Amino acid sequence: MLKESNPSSITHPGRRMFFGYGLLVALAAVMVGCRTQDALENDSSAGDGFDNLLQSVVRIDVRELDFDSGSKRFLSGVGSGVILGEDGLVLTNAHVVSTRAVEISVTLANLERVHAELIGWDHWTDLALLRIDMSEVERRNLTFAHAAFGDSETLRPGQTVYAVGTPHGLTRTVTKGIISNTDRYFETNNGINGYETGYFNTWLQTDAAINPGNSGGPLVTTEGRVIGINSRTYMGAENLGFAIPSSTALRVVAELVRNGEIVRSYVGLVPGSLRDLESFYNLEINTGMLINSVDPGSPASEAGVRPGDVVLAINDEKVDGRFPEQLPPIQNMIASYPVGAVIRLTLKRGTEEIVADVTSERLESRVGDEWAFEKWGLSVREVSRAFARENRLKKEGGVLVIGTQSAYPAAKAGLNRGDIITKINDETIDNLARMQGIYGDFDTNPQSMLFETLRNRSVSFFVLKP
Amino acid sequence: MIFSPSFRRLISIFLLLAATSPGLKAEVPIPELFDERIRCVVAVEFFVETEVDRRPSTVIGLVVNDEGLIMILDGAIPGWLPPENIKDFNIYTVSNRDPVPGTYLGQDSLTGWHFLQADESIVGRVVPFTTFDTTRPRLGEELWGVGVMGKDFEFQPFFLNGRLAVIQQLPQYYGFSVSGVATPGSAVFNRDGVFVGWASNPIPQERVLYLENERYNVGIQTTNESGSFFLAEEVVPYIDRAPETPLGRKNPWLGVFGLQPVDDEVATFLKLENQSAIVVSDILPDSPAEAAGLEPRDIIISIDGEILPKFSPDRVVTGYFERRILSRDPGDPITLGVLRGSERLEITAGLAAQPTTLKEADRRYFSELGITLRELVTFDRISRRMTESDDTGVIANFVRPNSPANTAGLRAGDLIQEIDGDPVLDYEQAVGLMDAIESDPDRTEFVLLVSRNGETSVIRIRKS
Repeated sequence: MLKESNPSSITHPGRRMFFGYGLLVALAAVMVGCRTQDALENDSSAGDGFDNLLQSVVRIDVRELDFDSGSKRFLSGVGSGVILGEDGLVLTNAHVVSTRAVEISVTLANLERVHAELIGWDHWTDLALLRIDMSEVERRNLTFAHAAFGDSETLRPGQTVYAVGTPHGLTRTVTKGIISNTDRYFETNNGINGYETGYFNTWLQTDAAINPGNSGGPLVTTEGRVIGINSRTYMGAENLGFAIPSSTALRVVAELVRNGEIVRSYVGLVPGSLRDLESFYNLEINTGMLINSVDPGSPASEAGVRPGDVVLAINDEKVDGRFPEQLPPIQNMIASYPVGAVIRLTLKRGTEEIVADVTSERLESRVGDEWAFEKWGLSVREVSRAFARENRLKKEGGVLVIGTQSAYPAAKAGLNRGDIITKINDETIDNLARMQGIYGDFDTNPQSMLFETLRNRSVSFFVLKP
Repeated sequence: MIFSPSFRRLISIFLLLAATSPGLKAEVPIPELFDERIRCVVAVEFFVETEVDRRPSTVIGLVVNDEGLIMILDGAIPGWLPPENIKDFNIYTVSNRDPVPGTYLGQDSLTGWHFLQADESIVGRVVPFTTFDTTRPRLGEELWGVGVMGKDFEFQPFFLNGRLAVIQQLPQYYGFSVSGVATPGSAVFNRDGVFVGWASNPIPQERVLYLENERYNVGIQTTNESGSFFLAEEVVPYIDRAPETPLGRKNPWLGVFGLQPVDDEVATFLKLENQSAIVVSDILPDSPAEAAGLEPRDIIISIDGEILPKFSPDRVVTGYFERRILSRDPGDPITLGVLRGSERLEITAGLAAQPTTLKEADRRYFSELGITLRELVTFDRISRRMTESDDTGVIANFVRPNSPANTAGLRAGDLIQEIDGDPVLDYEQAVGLMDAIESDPDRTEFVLLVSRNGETSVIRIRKS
């Protein structure tokens, strides 16, 4: 574990999570340009396919904006990626390149460095799509290879795989292992810089060494076919690495190319596995998905769906959520309906069978837009609907303080990280734009202002002075 | 010229001091004072009993009268536990090694102090602190008090001393000595043996700790020596507040929540000069505050026409406000001056009796299942941010470690909303359902719907 004093490391909430990430760590490593061909000669991986794959893996250096400290700061990090086609699309992790990225450069296999831009990202599956600046590639007459994909659905546990990437900044590192599990389930609601992940897919597990910096690099078969994107490791354990299956990745890539974002439907169900509860609910085995919780105020709650109900069918399609591993595909099925669609849930409640027509909303992250008011030394995040629900806030709206800079007006006034600003003078702050407007006025005509905030559940007032 | 009683006492002490100054009359030697005054201090041993556990605890008490009424500090006895869980009080006096049994009388809601009645066999073995004169100490005055060692040292009393460093209103008047002057719960005197205060819990000392070149800011607190004490004037008026029953009287209740002090800058901004003010964050449903028309975000600026005095730090004012309410009785009115926006209002509320508290809540332990069910109380509704839509249930107050319920994922503090698919309507019904499950030998499992952090889940529990 790197100490925080290392100026080149990014402190990452994921480090403290049960499932940690491959961190984006930039290290000044000595590059040794070595050829891999010799080492692979006696191995089944030797071949044109594998060599081509190595030529398509890139190192990604990112500079991104960070608002956590009451100011705008730049952080830098390193990850991996894989080139998808001649058009210069590069697939990586959402925790390597996010919407906060301001400068992305891609180091090709031939060690040439080119600029790239973000096409779109999806933290729910931890994927991001970049495009290499093709005019620069043409101008400089650069070449690169692109990877071929395999089918992650046909993988077997025990099958040999390789991870390729930039662990700890060591460009084009190849490690070897096997598929340890093809269908690992886990989700976290703040795993990617505070963003949710893992609800809509299961993960490939491998014992190939995956280290910080491997993030976004491919997991490949002996023929060099990409079957996963390496994403996370289990902190404190060895040889427990996880990758997004290529079947999920290809779906997300197609949508990001088409739309630049993934729009999902949300109904507000928290599913649970039915395992061993079938007899209690008087159900045949392999039937139905248990509803553990219903988000208050969500479409499902409005439609009268209750915790303890069992979903038998979604739009007449039967579902089976006996085991946790079966839940992400069902969640994904709900998420795949268009926003605003009426989704008919056939439910079992006690001995009754009932139907509930739920009108989906657009799925939102708990993390809202962020901004820093630099003269105040105050950085904030808009309170999203999901955050308001999660924290049982009576009213939606407001902005959350995510950082203050000491000795600046906000810190002097007494504002703290975690406060929710609800009002400034007589103006209700229901979104970030409102606050930006007030900051603009302050900028031209600085005056003392009364801030009303919620801290835990208590109302406090603070006077911010110029 | 009319002197107030305390002033007269001060004069008499002054005269006494003059009389005892060298040359006129010798001071009473410390050992003599000590031997007499240690008899107003006792060590109290008791046991806290929970479902699976019985733990001894020892605290120091102050003898209030000749019949053996004893006062114990707030926090020395868990105030959130039902009194029946606190058992077997034994009182150790300095003069005799055999303990005297005691009966727990309960906790006074205003001061938070606990009262204990010793068995009559204590008469003659103790001297109440009220036997001694009382005074407010002067800055720099030499003070001393009684330290008491642990049970393994047979509660051996020892001498402590220091000088008065400062007096602070927090909102009670506290004295702070430059060093530990008594064991918490014990008595503090001046050089003449006049009672000056009752030692409270020590305040942690801020220290910087260096460990292998790393610097840490730490608070260090001694356990049996305290430099802080309630001044005598904060103790004497409250010695008659022993409750009539261990659950005490019903507290007066306004039903406001999240009281926050207004800091100086904000007060100036709101044109409130030289006074305190309190923001009310929330008004509880069906409370006197709600009935009187108090609203969330109202700023309280006065009580019964008196403006809230200034304190430092600001936050002391909330304790002051709470004491002003607690010193009344249910049914009494209270008039609050309120700032709402730019409007100033007077709002009069009739204080009600406090809803069921944690220690009053009904509870029952199902020993075979390893679960204690407890009645849902107002405190739960506040701390869980419960809304009217999820206002029913029963609390799993205790879950025995490694019991089937624990293994299945039930945790202490979970709100049980359904038992075997039946919604929990109230405590009695929940106990009935659980009773039926526990006593039915044919039942092998049951299912609960529980809520934790606002998210529910279905838990299946096998009976062991």
